[in-house]
Amino acid sequence: MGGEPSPRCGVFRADRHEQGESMMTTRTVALIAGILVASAGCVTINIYFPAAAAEKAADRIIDEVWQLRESRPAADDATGESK
Amino acid sequence: MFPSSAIVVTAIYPPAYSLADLAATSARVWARALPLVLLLILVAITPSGSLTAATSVRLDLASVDHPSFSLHRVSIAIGAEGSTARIALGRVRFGERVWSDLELECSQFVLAEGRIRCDSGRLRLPGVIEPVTIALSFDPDKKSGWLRLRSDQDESVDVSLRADGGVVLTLGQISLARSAAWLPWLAELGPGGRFDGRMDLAPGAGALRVTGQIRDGRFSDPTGLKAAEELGLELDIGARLTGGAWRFDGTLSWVAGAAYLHPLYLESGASLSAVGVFSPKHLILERASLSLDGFRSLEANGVFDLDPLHIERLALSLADADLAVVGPRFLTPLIAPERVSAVRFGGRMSAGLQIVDGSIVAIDAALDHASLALDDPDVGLGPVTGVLPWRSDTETRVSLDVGGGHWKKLILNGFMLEANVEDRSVSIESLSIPVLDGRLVVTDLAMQRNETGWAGGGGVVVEPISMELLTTAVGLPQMSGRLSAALPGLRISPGEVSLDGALAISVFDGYLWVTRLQLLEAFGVAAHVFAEVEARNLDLGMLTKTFAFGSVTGFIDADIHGLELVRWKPVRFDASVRSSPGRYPKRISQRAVQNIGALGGAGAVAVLQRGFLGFFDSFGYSEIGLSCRLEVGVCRMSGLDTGDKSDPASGFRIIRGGGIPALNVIGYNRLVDWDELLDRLQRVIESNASPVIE
Amino acid sequence: MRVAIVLRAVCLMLWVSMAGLVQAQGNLEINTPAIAALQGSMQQRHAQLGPLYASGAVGIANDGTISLRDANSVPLAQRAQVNSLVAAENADRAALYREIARANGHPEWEGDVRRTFAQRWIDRAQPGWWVQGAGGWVQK
Repeated sequence: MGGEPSPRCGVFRADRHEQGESMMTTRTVALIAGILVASAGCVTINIYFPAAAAEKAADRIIDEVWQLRESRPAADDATGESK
Repeated sequence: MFPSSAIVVTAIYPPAYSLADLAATSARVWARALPLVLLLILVAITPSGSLTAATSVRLDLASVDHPSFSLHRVSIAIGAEGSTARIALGRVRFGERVWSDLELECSQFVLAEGRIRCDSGRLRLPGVIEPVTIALSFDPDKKSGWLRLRSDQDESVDVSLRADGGVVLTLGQISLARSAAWLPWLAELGPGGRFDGRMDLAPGAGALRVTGQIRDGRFSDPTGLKAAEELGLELDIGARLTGGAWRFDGTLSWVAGAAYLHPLYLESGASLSAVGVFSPKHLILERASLSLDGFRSLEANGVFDLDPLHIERLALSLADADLAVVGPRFLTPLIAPERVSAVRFGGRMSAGLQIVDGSIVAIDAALDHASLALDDPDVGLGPVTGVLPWRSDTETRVSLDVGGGHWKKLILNGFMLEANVEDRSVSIESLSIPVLDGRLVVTDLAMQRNETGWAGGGGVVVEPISMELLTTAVGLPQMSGRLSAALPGLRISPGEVSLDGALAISVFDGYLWVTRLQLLEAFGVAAHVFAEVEARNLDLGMLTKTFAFGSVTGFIDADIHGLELVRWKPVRFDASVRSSPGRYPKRISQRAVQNIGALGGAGAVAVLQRGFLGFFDSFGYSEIGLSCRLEVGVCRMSGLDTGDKSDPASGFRIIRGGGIPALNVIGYNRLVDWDELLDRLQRVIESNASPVIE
Repeated sequence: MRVAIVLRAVCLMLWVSMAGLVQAQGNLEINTPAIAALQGSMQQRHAQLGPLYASGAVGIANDGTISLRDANSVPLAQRAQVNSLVAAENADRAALYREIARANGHPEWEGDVRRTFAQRWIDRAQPGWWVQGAGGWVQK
């Protein structure tokens, strides 16, 4: 296995798997999905947009642009110095 | 008591007049329409149709209806000769508009010698007319008289009705803010200012002349996107009624103030004159011309349907627009508002536009030595002369003679641009731009405009350009060699240009091979370039001499992976430089060794065999190797071997010695600030360029 | 028997794609020089835009842009400059959304990135600023 899944059957965009966490759940989901696929023939699966991560990224950029964390690093510095 | 009153009322007015009819039918109707309510009331109180001195009269009417107006709860009370007369209307409808509680009171009411007079009267219409004083005199037999209205804010309305049927209406100091109550479309603009005007309606032939001026005018819609301040406008229109339509000829001059009509900021100094025919259904503009700073002429003619408003046909033409004036005022705010201060225009443009049935069918633009330049990035094009036609239904050919251009310090020579334009797509078969002694050739470029911007593709070839000329032109130390490119896969999408193929530069006796070129957001703040660079067999002797770095003989290969330039400065790459394989003389001068030392910063490079250094001009070496992985402003360095990374005291070998005397150069700073490194390099090169006397 | 093999193969493929899904939920790459350059440009511009948000002249639209919504508080002669400032900010924002999608290897995410930002700009807007809701402009 390891290689790209056959492009004949839908579009798979598989990134490298990093952690085996919740493998059981993944397998269960995969099994159910597999049955669905088998019954439906071929489906296209794309990677979903990582909404939560995007929100986090947006917040970090908004903090910078709007200078919302302006006072916080200063406070951190102060505590650092007192130690 | 007067059961015939209502009958008399309807008998006076020809039935079924709409407002538009009133405007168009005849001047005589105007003459009677103006003092409409007045006449109506006066006739109403004279049941026999002739005037006799009455003693005391009171009249109440539930309603008077007519297609164009209606009156409800009419109450008229006239006292004895010379005493008070009072007229109240509970509800008045005139056309679409409805008012409540109109009240007219004459404290001196006289019916004498066949004239009606009202002195020191007061007129009230809550919310529309706050108390105004009224005075009138009317002779029903001669159908002549006058009416004067004065408000507490120095506004005046004078109507004079001449026996020959002529009417003169004079308006003085009319507050536009208060007038807005009469005109709903005007009310939305929250107008202010004062209007003075005069309208002369000649008897018989139906000639009308309107003159007027607005002073200290202003308006602003709720968003402030349509607004003007300190407006001064002057109006002069003459019109003549022929065959049911008004033929007009007038001018409107904007003499003072400024306006913001999103996204344009305009200042006074424009004047519009127009000749045409106005009928209730159509407006025919035979000739309109706008005089505006920056244009030699701006003209229009066309036909408009008025109900509903629709452009049947319109032709606009502008001649000799001075782009340096017109560009920043009209073009940049409309086309590229984000770069208002960064775009510069020059030259002249003429253009024509045709609209048929509400849609644009043809545009023709002619450029005369037009030029366009951006400050950041520093690019420019021009002078450009030629024509740009566009038709909605067919393909057209654009032919432009481009005198030249520049990209930063690189000057482009003149070329011809021939393109086919169809609806929303542009194609160029071949475009050959001379660059120094070579050419940049773009082939089969096809671009389409979609919702997000322009997209398309084509091919690019760079016919050999001499590196001597190129480096001199862009202000780099002179290098010899040639640059050429074959990039058959040019792809353009909004914010992205990618070039499949290779850019080859033969330089320093070796070559540089640039592939996977990608240019992103070329005109934005984050303009960046991606590329892979492979260099082979560069002559170190030539290289070090070119950059005044001392002298090193030998050859090197270099690989730069994932090169990313932001605003044309490198911000990320993974580069390594190594001696090229093969047998050739390898020597390094003492000056170069010292410079390498200086690059590493104080104590960064330890030079072995220090004791012997002073005796030799140059040293032998067997291999050079240095790599730098740049990320977030820091260059992570290593050399021929990686050294022992866990031990900060151990260095990495940059030059391995060989021959006699042998020399090893070892670096210790694994992390070097990139800007600092560039500064040092700059200093080293400068210090070598001017001889140092020790 | 045959069916079972096909099923297994499908499962395996799905498992691989799901693994990608798990990974994609981690962090979004925003530490690229281009994003930093855009961020810097927008941060600099905020010095001028801040007072305009506060006065209500400029509001935060629900499509990830900003908009000149009430220019009445801006002197007439400066409205064009403010409009230019708004246009420049919107150009940077459009580039930012494109760039984030691109930096993460999914240019097709641009629309999603834009929508996410649109919501966050509105959520994080300071009290007194005007934001565009479903029913029009409202003051926070």
